[in-house]
Amino acid sequence: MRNILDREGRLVGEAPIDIDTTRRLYRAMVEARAYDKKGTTLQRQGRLATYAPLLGQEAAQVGSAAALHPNDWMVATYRDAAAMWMQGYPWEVLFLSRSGDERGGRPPVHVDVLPPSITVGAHMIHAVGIAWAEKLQGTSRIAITYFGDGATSEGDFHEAMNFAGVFKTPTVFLCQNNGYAISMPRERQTASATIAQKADAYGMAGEQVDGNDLFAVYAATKEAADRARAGDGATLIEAVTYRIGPHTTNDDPGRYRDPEEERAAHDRDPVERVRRYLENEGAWDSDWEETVQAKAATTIERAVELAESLGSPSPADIYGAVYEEMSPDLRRQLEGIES
Amino acid sequence: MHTFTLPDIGEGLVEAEIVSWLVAEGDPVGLDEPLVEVETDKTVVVMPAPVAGIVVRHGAEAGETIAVGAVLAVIDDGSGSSESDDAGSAPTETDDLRERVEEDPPLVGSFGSGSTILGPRTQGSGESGNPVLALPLVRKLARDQGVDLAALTGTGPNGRITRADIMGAVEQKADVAVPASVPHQPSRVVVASSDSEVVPMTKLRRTIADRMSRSWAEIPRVTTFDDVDATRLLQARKALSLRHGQNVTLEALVVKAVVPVLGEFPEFNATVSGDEIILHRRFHIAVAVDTPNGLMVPVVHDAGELTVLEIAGEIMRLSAGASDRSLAADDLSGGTFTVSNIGAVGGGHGTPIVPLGTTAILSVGRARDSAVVRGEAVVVAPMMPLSLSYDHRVIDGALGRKFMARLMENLAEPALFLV
Repeated sequence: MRNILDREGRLVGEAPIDIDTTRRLYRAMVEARAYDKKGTTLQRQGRLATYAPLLGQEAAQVGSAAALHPNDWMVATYRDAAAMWMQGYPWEVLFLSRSGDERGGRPPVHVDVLPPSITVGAHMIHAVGIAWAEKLQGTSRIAITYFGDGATSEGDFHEAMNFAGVFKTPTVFLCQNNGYAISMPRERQTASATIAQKADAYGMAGEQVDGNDLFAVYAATKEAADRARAGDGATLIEAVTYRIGPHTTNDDPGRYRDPEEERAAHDRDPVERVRRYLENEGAWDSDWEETVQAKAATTIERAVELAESLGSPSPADIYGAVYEEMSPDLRRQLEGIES
Repeated sequence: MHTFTLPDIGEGLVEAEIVSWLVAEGDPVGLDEPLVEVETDKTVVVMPAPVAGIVVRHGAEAGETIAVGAVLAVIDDGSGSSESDDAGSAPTETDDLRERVEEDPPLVGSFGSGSTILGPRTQGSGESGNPVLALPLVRKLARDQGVDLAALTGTGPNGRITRADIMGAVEQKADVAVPASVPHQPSRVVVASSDSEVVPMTKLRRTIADRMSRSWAEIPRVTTFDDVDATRLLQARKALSLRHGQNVTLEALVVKAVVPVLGEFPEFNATVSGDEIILHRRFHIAVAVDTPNGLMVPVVHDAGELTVLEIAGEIMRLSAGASDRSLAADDLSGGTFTVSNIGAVGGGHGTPIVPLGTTAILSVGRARDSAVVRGEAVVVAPMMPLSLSYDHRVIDGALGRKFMARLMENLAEPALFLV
């Protein structure tokens, strides 16, 4: 397993980014955590629908997305808000998407991030198709897709991996192995020793990295993206992380896992690890921390205000979200709710 | 003043129990700070305050259960109004934070030009100012009944117009009669008048109604009828009761008689599940019991392992328990075949409905002295009516007759099953 920054925030390999960039990504992780905490809070206040926390997976998402070009495609899931935001999907639009508002599926037009996939595993083939299209058009754009350990047991995973392998599509498969598919632990998900080794079967590169290590995730993703851009095909990255929170706000992990396990996971906290590194490097102090935290909180509060200022969507909005041209059946249904 | 109503924090939550208040009435609470612990049917969650302010009132005490939409807490956030909007207008910690950040943070991904998010809504969408809230089903009902939704005030959550609102309007509109027949309406709507009384269904009645409807819709059942000479059965019953000093009911004997027949014809002791038939190896015989509240069908478990005396005792226990509603859930579930003794209330033949999850039901009527032709002579014999309904998807008519014939052999000669 690739590891560059150990649990105490000490380098055990070569840092792939400079201190300024590390500080920027640290702020991004703090902001992602503020968003995540707010997401759960808003759900408890009845202001969001079911929310799936990403707590503990900040490095896997921020580190991987930071290694992309701004116009690369991203096809992610309901738990990947931090990665999506890194690639330009605004927090307020993410909040909208979590409140069941169709407008949450429409980021600004220059952002090539697909709306989050709710169906587990259904989206990986989209990333392969998009990447293949870019390859056929001779561009240097690649597509990254995010999914969890559970999604690797879906048939779509096989289809996507196989197709990407055969056609050498410029796709990065980023699996956040967070230990659980709702209540199903990783060891019962697959008999494979690692998820990364599945890449062998599809004839593509594969690597397991410490998903709570910002540097390792960044370096592995950068290499995979470079490989894709160079025409050398897809890569499967298994970022080993841990879902500290529940599956969603409608889940109680106390029923299926040891609380001791959750406490132990805090020792592997990806954000704290980078903070210690910066402190060791003389690039962190408590004043700066306060500013970073305050700015993160303010940004997220503004995003909530913005999202809520839009008001409730019209029931008619749900009819316009799927088809370019509405089917006669949908048209009839729409007329039904308007009369 | 901000009124915090209990949101649906689950997926389709309807109520939650207050576990404990984390902020007392009269105490201050900060934005997003823990306010109260509630328990849903899934888990215990901490509800954070949506605004900062003083907790004026708790909507309910610890231990109480409140419905989604009911007042959870009232917080004085300084806004003055009786019911404010959500966070945003009220002074919050955010404002303090904002001052500590040097520059006003730029919006993350603005909604400006190039953004589609504020584009025109789906064309033709309703007035956003005061949209009429109603489910499509209710809208259709309104159209069919000629009711103008805009003229109604909804009584549902958030002023949503309900089916009852539509029917109320219909009643006002047509004091003579409701439209004679409305095609494709799932159920005829009858408006109560002074000549009738409206009685809400009890929970048990709703359950019965639901199961009967589902069985009727799902199971194509046929019923086969016959009458059996119960002379020897009644003699056996009398002899057993005298010898053991215990009332051995006819029902117990029928249960005892039916078990070996079920063993011989397992399709009658089965469950249809999709494209599969699950044949049960154990015989859990449900017995219909008439109670003051309605029909209940407790189950004699493993009737194949019991003597007729034990079955009689068990039916007695279950009947008493059904009447005073003291039965455990286990006593009321798991039946694989049903015996309904309508003879107990004087019944003859019937066309019983096959209970969901099973394939057959036997109804036993009261034995009546009848004229029976035996050889050249007409004799008087107590003839007991039998009605067997079964799921015709998995049991053909010939099999139904074979089952009935073997059952009648047993009932006509108790020695055949009292072994």
